[in-house]
Amino acid sequence: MPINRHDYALVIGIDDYPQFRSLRGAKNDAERFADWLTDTAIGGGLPPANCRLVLSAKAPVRPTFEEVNDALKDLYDASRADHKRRRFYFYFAGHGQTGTASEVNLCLAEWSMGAGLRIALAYSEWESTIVDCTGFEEVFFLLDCCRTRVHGGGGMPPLKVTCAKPQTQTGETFVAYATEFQNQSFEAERGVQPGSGDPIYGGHFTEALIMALTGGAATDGGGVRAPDLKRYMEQWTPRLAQEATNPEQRAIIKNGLSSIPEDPVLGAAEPTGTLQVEIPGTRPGPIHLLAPDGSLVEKGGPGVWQVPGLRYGQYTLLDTANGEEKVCHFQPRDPMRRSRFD
Amino acid sequence: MLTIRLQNPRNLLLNPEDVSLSLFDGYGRVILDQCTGQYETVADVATGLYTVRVEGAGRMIERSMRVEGDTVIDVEIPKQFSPIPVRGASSTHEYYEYPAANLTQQFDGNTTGPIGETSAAAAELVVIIRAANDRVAPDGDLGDGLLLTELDGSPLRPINLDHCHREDNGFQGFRARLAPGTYFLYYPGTPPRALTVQTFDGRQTQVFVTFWGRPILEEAGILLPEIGEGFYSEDEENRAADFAIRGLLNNRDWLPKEVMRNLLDGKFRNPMLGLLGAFVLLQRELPNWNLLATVAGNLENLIPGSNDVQVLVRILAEEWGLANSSAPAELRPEAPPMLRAAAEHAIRISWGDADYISADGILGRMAPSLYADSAWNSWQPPADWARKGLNYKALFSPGAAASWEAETSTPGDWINETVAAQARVLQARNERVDAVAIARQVGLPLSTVAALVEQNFLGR
Repeated sequence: MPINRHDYALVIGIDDYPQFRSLRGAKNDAERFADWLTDTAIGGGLPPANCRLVLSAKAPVRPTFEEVNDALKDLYDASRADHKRRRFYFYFAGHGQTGTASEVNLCLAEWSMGAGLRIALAYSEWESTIVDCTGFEEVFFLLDCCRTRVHGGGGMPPLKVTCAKPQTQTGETFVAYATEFQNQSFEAERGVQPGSGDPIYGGHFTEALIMALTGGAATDGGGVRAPDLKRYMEQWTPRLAQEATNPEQRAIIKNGLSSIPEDPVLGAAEPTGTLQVEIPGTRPGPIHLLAPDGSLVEKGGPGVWQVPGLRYGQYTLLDTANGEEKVCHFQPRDPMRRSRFD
Repeated sequence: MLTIRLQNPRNLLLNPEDVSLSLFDGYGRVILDQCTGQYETVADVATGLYTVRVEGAGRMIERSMRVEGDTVIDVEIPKQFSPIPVRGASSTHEYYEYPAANLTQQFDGNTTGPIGETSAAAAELVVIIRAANDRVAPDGDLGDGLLLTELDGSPLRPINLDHCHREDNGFQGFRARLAPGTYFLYYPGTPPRALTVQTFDGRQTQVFVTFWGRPILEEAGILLPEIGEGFYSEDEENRAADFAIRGLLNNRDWLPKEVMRNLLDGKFRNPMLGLLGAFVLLQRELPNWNLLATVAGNLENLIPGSNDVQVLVRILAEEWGLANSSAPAELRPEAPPMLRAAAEHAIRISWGDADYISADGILGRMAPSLYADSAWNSWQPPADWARKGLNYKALFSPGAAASWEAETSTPGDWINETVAAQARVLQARNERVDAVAIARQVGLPLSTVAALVEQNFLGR
């Protein structure tokens, strides 16, 4: 996949809220998304210099409002010299709050319920500045945060990038909220660190995003089209929340890229992968692996099966000896998950 | 051929027109998207695995199935959660329905003596606190320090075991006669919160609260039947009101369509349903002002003196025209309304009429500390309320441990910080520091913001 020199990204992940409740998976999520953005094999293909990753820290407390403004300004200045600038990604993982249905404020590390109630990015103002002032053709906003109401809560507009002369043709947007207005966005344990055994946390929304971009929503020929990304994330965000026994979390996604003739493609992930299945010796079989449409994919006996070339979907393992079956969701790039037919 | 049948569990209020149904094939492709309005949906699909998703009342149910030939699948319409033991809610249990009915219906069911002047006690207040179910029912006092107070925080009566009827299954009920007026139910624990309740002549204000580690006041249900009418779990209007409460909490129009039709026809006798319906209607992009005027007129008869109705009438006067309204434009609430939506409308009105909410009045003092996580108008009162409550508890239960004293803290000087921050943004953009603009931005009464702007930014 070619490097996308004309794409830029601002990625923010905040776990540390010394004056509020800290999170456990936001930094990890931001790093995972940044990794995908700069991955030149199946990811966004951004040169590392075009991707600004801003992560929180406890002491000193960061990022400050100034620091995030500086990051946007740096990207803005770099992109001004790039006459072919194409796409901008804005990703945020952290706490969010809102006063109205049309607004969400992205809480920075110094946010608190008292005097720090407005130490946050007023999303609508950041959106309009980025869309109206930077001249990108496409802008993706991906916001993994709550949209719960906090009275008196608010945020600040960008201060260092202003529209001296608004673009005559403004970019089109793809806006993805992790949850509905008034609702929370959740994170859950996603696995353990190899070696230390420490748990790894992540948000359901970002998990669905990464699953989609790494093949779950990929199209023939590789990459993920915006309508497929929307469809996939709308299906999987609530499903992951439900699996983690969190309350309902429904991703709200507005794909405003309608007037672009070709659906924009994100990354280059292939739509197929290898399914790993372990059939224990207690099942002499024969065992059938059925595709989502019911057709037979593979049959055999106990052992570890490696079945290449499968698309994302629900596959069924059928024990023909007793009629027992197990249905599993297959993700094309999920080497961690090996199904076992117990 | 796949037939999906929506099953309406016993007495569930939601109908298919209030739920949405989607169908995905095994590859995650959308086959049907957000169909509504039918008990039975038939889809001509090929053999394979499919997933049906049903969403309603803020809940989602997914069911996967294999389709081979003609297949029929039954999916239950989701049930709502509710602190009110209305029929059809997933959190309703018979063992809470009956004590709720008994407590509210018995003529002499008061669990404590009259509050205030006996001769003025023409209203009733019922507070029912109950566990999610009897398996998680805690021992001890479910009130956990909950107090009934005057608007200035003066304690009137603790909602504790000394003044409540308690059952072993996690049910605790308080019922008292008192004067019509506006009060707070004040929880001094963490987080501290005072919930506005209004009582009316001849009516019983019923407050239903779930206990989950503490009384969850923010998700309370409030009903306003006539005294003697009591609580009926099968009352359609109560159940509709409960839906409307959840909808208002989420800024969603979850009032079942059938109930909204009745409301449109003016057929309601439950004032809480009318009140909630009115504020749900106000959320719509193009509110039906004629209908709202009818509802407001009906409410003025049912609950005269309601603070919420006064706000509603003022909105009508402003939006629909004074000539069509029965109320003078200068009408202002004497006390805080019960609904958060009404309080927020009152704050909005103040942006055009600074005198509508005085910074020193009760609503003006509440405004900077309002909680926004509830359908009800609730706030974090000043820290000294906890001490008042503690003294009161000590008075009633000498030697009682003071461990429940709250770690209360008021939002402090966030208003100063916020107004200053907003002013800095305006100044950075070379725009005038305008109190109305800032009040709109920060959601505070104009009188509160104007004083600060005058002190700090005028003439700069």
